[in-house]
Amino acid sequence: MPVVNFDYYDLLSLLGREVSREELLEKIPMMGVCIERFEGNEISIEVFPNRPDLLSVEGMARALRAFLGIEEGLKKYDVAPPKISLHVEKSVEKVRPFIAAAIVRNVEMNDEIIASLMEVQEKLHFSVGKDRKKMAIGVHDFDKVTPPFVYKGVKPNEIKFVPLGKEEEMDLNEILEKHEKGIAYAHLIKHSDLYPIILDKNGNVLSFPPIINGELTALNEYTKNIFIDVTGTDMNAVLAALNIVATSLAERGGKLEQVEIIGKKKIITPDLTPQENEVSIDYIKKILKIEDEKEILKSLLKMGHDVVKEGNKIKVYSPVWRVDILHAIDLIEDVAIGYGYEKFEDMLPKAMIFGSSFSHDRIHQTMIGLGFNEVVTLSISSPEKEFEKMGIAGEAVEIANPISSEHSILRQSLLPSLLEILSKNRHNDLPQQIYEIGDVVIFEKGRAKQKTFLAGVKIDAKTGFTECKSVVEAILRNLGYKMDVEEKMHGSFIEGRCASIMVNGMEIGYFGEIKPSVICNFGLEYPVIAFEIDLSKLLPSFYE
Amino acid sequence: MEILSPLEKQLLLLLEKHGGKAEPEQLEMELVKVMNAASWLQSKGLVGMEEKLIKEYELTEEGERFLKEGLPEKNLLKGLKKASLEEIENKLGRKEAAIAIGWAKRKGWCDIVKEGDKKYLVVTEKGKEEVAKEQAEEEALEKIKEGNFEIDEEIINVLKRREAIREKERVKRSIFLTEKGWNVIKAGIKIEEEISQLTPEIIKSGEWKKKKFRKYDVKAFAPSIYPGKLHPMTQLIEKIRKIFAEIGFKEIRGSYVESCFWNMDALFIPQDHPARDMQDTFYCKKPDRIKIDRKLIEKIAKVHENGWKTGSKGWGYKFDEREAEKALLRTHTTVNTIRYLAHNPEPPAKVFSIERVFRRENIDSTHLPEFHQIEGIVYEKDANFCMLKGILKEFYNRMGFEKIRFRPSYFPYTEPSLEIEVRWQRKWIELGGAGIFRPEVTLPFGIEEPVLAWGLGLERMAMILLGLNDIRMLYFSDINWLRNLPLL
Repeated sequence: MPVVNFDYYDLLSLLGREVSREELLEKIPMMGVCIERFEGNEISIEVFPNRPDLLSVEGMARALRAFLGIEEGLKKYDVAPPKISLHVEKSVEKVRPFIAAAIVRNVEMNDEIIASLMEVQEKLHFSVGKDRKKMAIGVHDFDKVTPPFVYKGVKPNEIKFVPLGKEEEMDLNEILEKHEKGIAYAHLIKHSDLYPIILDKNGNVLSFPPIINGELTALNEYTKNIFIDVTGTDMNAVLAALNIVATSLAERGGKLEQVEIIGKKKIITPDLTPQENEVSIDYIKKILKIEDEKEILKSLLKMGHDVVKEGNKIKVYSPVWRVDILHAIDLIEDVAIGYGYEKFEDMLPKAMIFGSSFSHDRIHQTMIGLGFNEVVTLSISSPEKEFEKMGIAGEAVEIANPISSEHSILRQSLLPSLLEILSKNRHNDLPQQIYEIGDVVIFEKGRAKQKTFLAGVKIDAKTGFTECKSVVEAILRNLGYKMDVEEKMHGSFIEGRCASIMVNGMEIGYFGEIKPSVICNFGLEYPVIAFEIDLSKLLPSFYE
Repeated sequence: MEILSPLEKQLLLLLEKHGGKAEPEQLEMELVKVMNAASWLQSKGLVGMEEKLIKEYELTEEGERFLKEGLPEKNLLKGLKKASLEEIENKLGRKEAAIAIGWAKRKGWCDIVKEGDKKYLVVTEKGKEEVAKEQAEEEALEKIKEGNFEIDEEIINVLKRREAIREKERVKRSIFLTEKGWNVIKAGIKIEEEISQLTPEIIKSGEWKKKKFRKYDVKAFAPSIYPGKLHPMTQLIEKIRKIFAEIGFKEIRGSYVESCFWNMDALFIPQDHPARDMQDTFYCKKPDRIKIDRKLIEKIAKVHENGWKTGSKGWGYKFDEREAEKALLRTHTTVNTIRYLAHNPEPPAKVFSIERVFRRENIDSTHLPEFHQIEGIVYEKDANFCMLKGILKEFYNRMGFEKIRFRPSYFPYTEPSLEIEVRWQRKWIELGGAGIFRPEVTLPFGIEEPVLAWGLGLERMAMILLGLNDIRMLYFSDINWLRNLPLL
């Protein structure tokens, strides 16, 4: 999850009131974000993906001002009507169709603003932009270029410009091949034969989105008027990012001015008209059990909404940067957060239902009685462990994107993991006898079938088939079954010393003496006996 | 004159043979018997026992390598007069080069000279001489390998600094004859017959009436035995099962291999959500798809695109229906509860499950690619946020946590959402997430009342309750650790 970093005093100046560190430490988490670090004056806050508007110190301050009661309700900004236009040509449609823009005038540039702008762009690129795919932001010194602007697709060698941070002109192909940002983001436009570009009236390059801006419009301490462009493949993401960045600069005292975007349709951005939603008071009361309607309204104000009560409904006006409001339930959560999670009383469910559980009690008791220690092992395994080391062949559920070849399939038996535990315990005293009750997944006819198995192994200087048979017989006796055996061939067991466990004529498992080759494969040096029982077969009413 | 048992007598004689002092393991007698007899003799003042902590060393992987391949600085300088640092780095790799150059320089075997903007290593006279000789470190490594630890302290320190050896401490126990013990031996030993092991014959014959019983030292060493027992995680799971069953919850089970549809789509997790990345979720190659009813997919697609009839705007993107049937390893057990609800849409229901989930994490001390979730739902008429808090508090109280805190949180499938933290050793520890299922999740399945849901971590709770700082202890268990762990 994205983390925003900022300075305590910068936050205070944006809050416009002294708020102690203790109060911030207590209140910030209750607003729905996590404080990751607060050391010295550095604050790092983790923001959930539903609230990109909190990805800047300005956005955080805006939300906190409402939450702390410094400035409640919907935050409004003055937006001047458009004076300039940006023309979108059809040639860009296939590669990166959407664009929105804004102008922010009279910004008093300082280090904090530059740092915060970098921070919010980077965080938005990752979260909302999915690493610049859905949208990417460009911020420019407006006074270095001349409107109107044009957004169009050009051939890769048609245009040359000096990219940000460089000194020499490069054409678009060179940028994709040589520039570090070009290499990183080329995949986003490589499929197209035309690349997107934003030019001014005189053909100066503002940006080669989503790769890099031109050096010409780089911000510096003398920048006064800022032009923001957001391009992308998802219009919602483009508008969200523009509104968040533009209002962040407005929080710093900049004056917002709209831009006319002329393409197939004409739109004017940024458009800060609030969202209008309705919630029924009964719905709020049902979910939250807050009876006091004044508290409900106040809670919404504390979350930065304006409210009008109309009969048994509340009309809620929410800021346009709150992109997480899909349903009335999202406003109900805001009521809960504004009200304070700590203030809700504890209640218990009323429905009368009898509980039940799948405890393996009888089997555990039996195994413990036999002196076995239970172990728990991972179900993600490897073909090497499951098959090669065990001297058998077989199929298993396979992971398409494993973390390593050692963790690439699901186990279809518990025995390999038990033998592995023995191999990790070579330094400990013998005898060792361990067991596990766990799920395995059999891959059969293209389908995965999950089953619950019981398996046990014993390693000792002297142990063998007879002891194993006694153990298995004891287990089945405790569970109320009589065991029959039949000779069995199994690649992991010594021939003639392995048997099927038969109950009512059905094979439910097997046991015997492990082959020396298998013992050696696991790095062991003593005789090992083993058994495995399919509980799903033995106790189908319980395990299926 | 002391009365001595045959064993005690045997031990005294063995000690005499070993010159009056020996480690118990050196004696030609079973260890249990030696320790028994020794403790008796000690109480009689005939022998003494001492324990000394001695330092031993073993080679690390690095040390083994030094021994096999020679010291890096030596290898570097062999046949070399001068070379640019860049060249050396290219040849040896940056890390190895830094080690070799660093030590060569420290030993005065080379100088670093700057010519132009390049730096060069120049081998000194001393370097040339030393490279041909066996170094003290090498000699020491050989000795350590053979189990000989008589090595100059300074060299040991150098080897430790180079991470070539590891220090191990061992308690060396020895038993020695006291002056009184020597006197007894010199005087010769006479034994009065007494009963040691009580046998059926002694009882039947009445012999016990005529003889004395030899007194045992009740403090003498008895070998440890270890009963079988449940793994601590199972103990914890059983405890949790009991709690939920006691408060009227029914346990359900599900499958590891699931479809994207049930694991993600049905829970309103958008298709571009980061948790669905190949980076975070295990997808299956075999099987690669799981069949889902087309009509169901179409309905859920609409929920994602425009909210369907749920009153929601939806996510507003074009749903790719081919994604729904992709097979994956379930990333949460919420898939168990949504499946249950889809089949049982009539309230009330209280169900839980404690099962494994899978996330694409590398294995380290705090991460595993699979772990358990404690999942649960309450579904009844007028279920509400206060009940969610109440039931979670009840659960954690019963688990022994007294202070519990709830913070706002975010999950794509719940609203309101919360995170649960418990107070443990003066810190708030996050143990799980919870919330009320969104209408976008419930309404498509005809679930009309609020569903309170939670997914809590098991391993983290196990680690704090067991005092573990490495999660791997739970799944790659040391049997001795299990043997000695008290029951929960």
